[in-house]
Amino acid sequence: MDVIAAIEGSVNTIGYGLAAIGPGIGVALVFAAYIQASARQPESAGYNRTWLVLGFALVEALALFGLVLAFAV
Amino acid sequence: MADNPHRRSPDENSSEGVAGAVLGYLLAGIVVWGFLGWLAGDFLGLPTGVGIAVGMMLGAAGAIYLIMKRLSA
Amino acid sequence: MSGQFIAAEGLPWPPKVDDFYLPDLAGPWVTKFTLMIWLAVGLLIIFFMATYRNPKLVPSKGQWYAESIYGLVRDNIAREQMGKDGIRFAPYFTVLFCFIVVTNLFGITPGLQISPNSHIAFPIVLAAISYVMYLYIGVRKQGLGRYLKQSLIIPGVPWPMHVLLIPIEFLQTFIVRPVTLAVRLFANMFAGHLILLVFTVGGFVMLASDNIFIQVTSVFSFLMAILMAFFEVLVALLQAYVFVTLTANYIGTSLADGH
Repeated sequence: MDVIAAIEGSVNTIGYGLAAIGPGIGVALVFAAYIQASARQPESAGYNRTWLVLGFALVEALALFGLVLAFAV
Repeated sequence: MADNPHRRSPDENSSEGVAGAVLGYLLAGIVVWGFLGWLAGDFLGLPTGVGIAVGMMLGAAGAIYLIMKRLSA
Repeated sequence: MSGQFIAAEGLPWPPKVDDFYLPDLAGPWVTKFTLMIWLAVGLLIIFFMATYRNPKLVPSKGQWYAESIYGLVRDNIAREQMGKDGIRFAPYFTVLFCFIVVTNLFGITPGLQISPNSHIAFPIVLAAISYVMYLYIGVRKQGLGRYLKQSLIIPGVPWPMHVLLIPIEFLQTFIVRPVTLAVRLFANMFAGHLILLVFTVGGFVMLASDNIFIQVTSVFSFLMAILMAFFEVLVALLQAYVFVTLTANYIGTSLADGH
């Protein structure tokens, strides 16, 4: 079989790189929305913080799945 | 939170503290329960990947619960 | 980095981890890193000795610098993170902050060009000091049992959840914290040095090629290297600040009374 292209090393790292794209965008959206909300209505910043932390945690969990699987599988 | 400065837990004081704590809890939860799930799957003879997947889900759920309890209660 | 590279055919491209292992100067125990650590310690001792030797009410210029650094660490880090208990830790935090800043800035100092913190050993020692410190302070303040209870058990949680949560808390408090503390500093300085190497050596590789367009493009590589050198200043200061802030945060957690 002819080999046109090959890579050396762990393919898992590429998988992690791909897995980090989505959460990267997601974290950006979460923080952008929080900054916008608290700039428009500064008194709601404390209330929104709870949802900021929850949203950040939910999104970041996906990136960490990728990180753990890159080492585990 | 700004109206009650004495009852804050130290993790809550700064954005670095919050971000670090969220990441740390998520990583710890996913790693420790992913490992336990992998062990359980190995012992019970489940197909590859089922144990670790269930363990990581469980760990992420526990970590998010913990974050909500610790950081924004 | 001068003309010697342009002529060379076998440029060290791409940069490898071997670039971080510098040759020994005198025996295996004295390397460039050893000398840089001595230099940093010496600089800090001389700086603070000279500026605090005879402090005046109206400070001289040097004394003003030293007092500004101390004031920054005391007010913005120690008091912010730990309340008024933090004041007595402020001298240690100041020295830690200055040491990390100086050693990080060695990464872009001409002639030195590499930060000791881009070897994992140095951040590990710094993180180990913080780790032992917050464990010791927590145990001394509250006793072993109460300290473990405070850091492992969350109040107001139904008991089956504890089975799920205690391993997570244990890993977070006793393993993830010191590891991330060390790895964050190490990885930032390592990656920074690698980026500078990529752009600088890459510029020389492009310059040494026989295509005129690629030679012209090398200008952008050198510009990027200069830009990244300034970016590294920011990273050096920020990482020192984050390291000290997190150390203060962890010690503050150990000092906090359980509810």
